[in-house]
Amino acid sequence: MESAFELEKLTKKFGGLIALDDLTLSIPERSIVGLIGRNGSGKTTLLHHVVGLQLPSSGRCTTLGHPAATLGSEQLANIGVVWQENRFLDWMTVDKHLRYVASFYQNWDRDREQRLLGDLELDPAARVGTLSPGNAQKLGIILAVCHHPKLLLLDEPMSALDPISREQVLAFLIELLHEDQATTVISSHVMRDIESVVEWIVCLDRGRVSVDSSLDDLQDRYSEWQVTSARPIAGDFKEPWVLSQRTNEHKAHLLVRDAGELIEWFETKYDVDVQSQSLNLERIFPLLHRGSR
Amino acid sequence: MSGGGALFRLLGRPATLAWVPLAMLLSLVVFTAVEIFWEIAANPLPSFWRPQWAHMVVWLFPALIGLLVGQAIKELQHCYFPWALPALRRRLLPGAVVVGLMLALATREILTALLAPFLLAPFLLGSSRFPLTRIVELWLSFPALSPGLVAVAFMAFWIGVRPSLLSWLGVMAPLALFSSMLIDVAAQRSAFVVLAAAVLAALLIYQEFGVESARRRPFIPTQALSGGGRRADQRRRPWGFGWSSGAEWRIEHMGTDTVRWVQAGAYENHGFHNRLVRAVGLAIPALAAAYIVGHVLFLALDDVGASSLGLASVAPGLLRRMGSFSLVLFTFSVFAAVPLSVLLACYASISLTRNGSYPLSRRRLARIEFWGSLAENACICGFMAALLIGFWSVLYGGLGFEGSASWPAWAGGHNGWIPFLLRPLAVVFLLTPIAQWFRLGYIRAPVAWSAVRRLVNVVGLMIVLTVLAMALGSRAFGFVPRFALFVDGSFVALIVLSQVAYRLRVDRYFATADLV
Amino acid sequence: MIVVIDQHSGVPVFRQLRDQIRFQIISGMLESGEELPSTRALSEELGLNPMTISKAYSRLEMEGLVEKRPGLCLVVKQLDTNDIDTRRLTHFRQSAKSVAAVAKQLGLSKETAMEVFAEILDGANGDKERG
Repeated sequence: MESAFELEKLTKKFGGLIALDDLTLSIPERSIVGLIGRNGSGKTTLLHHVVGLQLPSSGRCTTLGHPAATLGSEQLANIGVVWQENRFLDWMTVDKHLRYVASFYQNWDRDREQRLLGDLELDPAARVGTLSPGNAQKLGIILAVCHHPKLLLLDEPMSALDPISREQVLAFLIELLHEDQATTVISSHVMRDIESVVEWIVCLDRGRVSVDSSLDDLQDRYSEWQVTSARPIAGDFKEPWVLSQRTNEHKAHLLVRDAGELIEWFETKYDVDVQSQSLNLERIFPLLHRGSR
Repeated sequence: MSGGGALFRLLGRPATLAWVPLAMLLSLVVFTAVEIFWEIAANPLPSFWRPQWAHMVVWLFPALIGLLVGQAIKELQHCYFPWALPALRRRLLPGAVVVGLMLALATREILTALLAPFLLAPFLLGSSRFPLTRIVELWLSFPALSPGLVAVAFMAFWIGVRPSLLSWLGVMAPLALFSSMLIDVAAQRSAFVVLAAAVLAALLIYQEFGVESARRRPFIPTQALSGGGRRADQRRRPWGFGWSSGAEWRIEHMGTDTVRWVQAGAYENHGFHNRLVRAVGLAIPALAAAYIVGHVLFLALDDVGASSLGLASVAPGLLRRMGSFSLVLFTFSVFAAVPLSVLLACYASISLTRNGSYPLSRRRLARIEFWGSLAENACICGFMAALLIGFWSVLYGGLGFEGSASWPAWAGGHNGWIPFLLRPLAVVFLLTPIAQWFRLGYIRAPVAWSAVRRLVNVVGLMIVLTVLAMALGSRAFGFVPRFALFVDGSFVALIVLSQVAYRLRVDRYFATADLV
Repeated sequence: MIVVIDQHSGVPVFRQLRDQIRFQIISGMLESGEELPSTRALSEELGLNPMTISKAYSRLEMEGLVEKRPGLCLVVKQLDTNDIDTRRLTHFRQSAKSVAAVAKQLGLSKETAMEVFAEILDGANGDKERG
């Protein structure tokens, strides 16, 4: 499978600040990828590089088979982006804005546009400058998807949407995958949204890739152990794969990584009873950044 | 004293340190340039012209400082947090009054030091047929009275703080209507005049910084510094949307055609006007400006006794006497037209605004930016041409010519339209890319105040160029045809050079810079 | 086929899907020869990533519970009785483990626990008979 975009030893410095640090990443086509990370970890900068809006200090970025810095107009017409900061023309009405942007693309799908306007309940006659943040995000999404992009980049696209609209957008992303064979990259803080539809997770930590695996693998690796002991528990557990723990006399609550095979060994060694449970992405997220403090 | 402190804390930033010397520099350069001009021309006319130009210092310098204070206060007002602060304008007002007064006194000192011999005798223009003349009379007579000068400078400061049409009208209208009475009052009760000016100014300012007026007005001022069409939302005029629903976008498919994208840029920046509204909106100030400037020049000729003769017959004599009348044009075109074109290049920008969210490769963006700038430049020059033609028409006594013989003379080559029209336009065309160059990459930067520092560089550059141009003009600008050809040739070469340089700059910028 | 997926429980979605479909097959809710919904249909119905569904289906295929017919959707395989019984017991054993753990934690003796369990089973059967 070809890659939708590829970063090779990409470094970006803003003055003294290193935003992206020797990043190597490859995103396969026709997948939905979640890009997660703390504030300032470089997610938006990475997306800027993918579309060629920012140029790397060193290293390379290749998007849809072309170097990102010299992406041609035809390739850019196959990419759709929803930015965190809206870049709209505030004096226009929603409808006018859609007509205007529609003229940029050859294959603008009017039906899709009308359907989304209806589903997301966005008033075409409203002035863009007076839209609430949530409605502005809806407009951003519509503007990015109606031209059937092969690559869709979403930077915090749903932070201001109500839960109903969120459901609709997430369902639409699935549809987009089926209809357009699109690759979607969602960068978001809302783990619930990401968890719903992505199959692959990339986590950035201060400009580096700390996780690049499937969501399933990630969920398999991390788990929560409820430990019950008949005898009093003598102090903390020192195993390296115990990431955090809360212990009192007879019970302990552990968060562990890559310890699936070790339950029986643990039970035998400490003469305890272990109940293992899964952790969702929201609870895994802090465990991905434990070194940063 | 926490009240006064409030304003000074707003002003205590690097940009102020850049702005204050800049304002002083700009005003003094105007003055100095005219001094040089008259040195070269060695002309008896100065008794009329010198004080007028020098009085620009009275108005310009305080107004520019007032502009700075006004911007600082406006910027504060347009953040969300100060709305809940109690008694904000009561805190800022004392500081502003203090600055204004100190400024007015300083201006008086500067002017007295520079122009002592000319200030002592008040003089009025004799042939006051027009209301505008009365205003000019009053304007000119005040500085003769020292307290009057302080009052004028003070008012100029406040008008700078609130640079709106309403301010100007509020000040000018009473002056125009009650001019003679005011002059009498000023001669007798000068302290009263200063006080009245201060009170009027304070009232204007108090009303200006009120919460209600701030809510109604869009945040325009630092747009000039934070870049043309970049902040379309800041140009939002709530009352404007009622009667102007904006133009329709008629193109179905854009493709990559440069012309269409330049149109798109124009649409993005100015499409919120209907064509008619826009045309009228531009025409009125253009005509007004042309009328005002032409009128002043008309009065100049009147003073010389030359107005009834028509320019064509007078011109040779005038030209000889003034050294080079086209040098006046030069001065005008540089000092008025170039700063104007800088502002227009920011306000009337037609570059694409959405920060790279277009299906256009960087090379295409570069090409579109270049041709768009050229189109902008052409529009600005067109505007200037209208201005120039406008006041030349006024000089001819209202679009009429003194007999048919004068038209060929006016139109005739190096005594006519080339120095009077084309050369000033050439200067504007040559220097506007500097503003556009500056806009690219500097104003696009998100921090507006650092752009002020860059602006200092650019304006400094323009001033140097102006002085050079004038020196060049005074030497090679005689009416010996072969020198004139050399000057014209060098103009053309310079223009081509500047366009090539600009193109290279644009290409390089789009090839290597972060667009976001 | 009705499945309930909790995408936010931390349990990988493909696994939830696989387990639920497996349960339905071995309990007889999905009969042999019955067609499973296509990947696309299920993904749109449940709002899930189609890769996840493919993964679940391929695991089921590896376990021998469903088979692929060329050009058509997956169908539930015909399993022999031994196979079904084994699978049912395996599943039951898993559930029983957690009950046993609770009994141990509560310190109940084996006899007490078995008594309670027998009661419940009888009660359940009784309800079944009465109902």
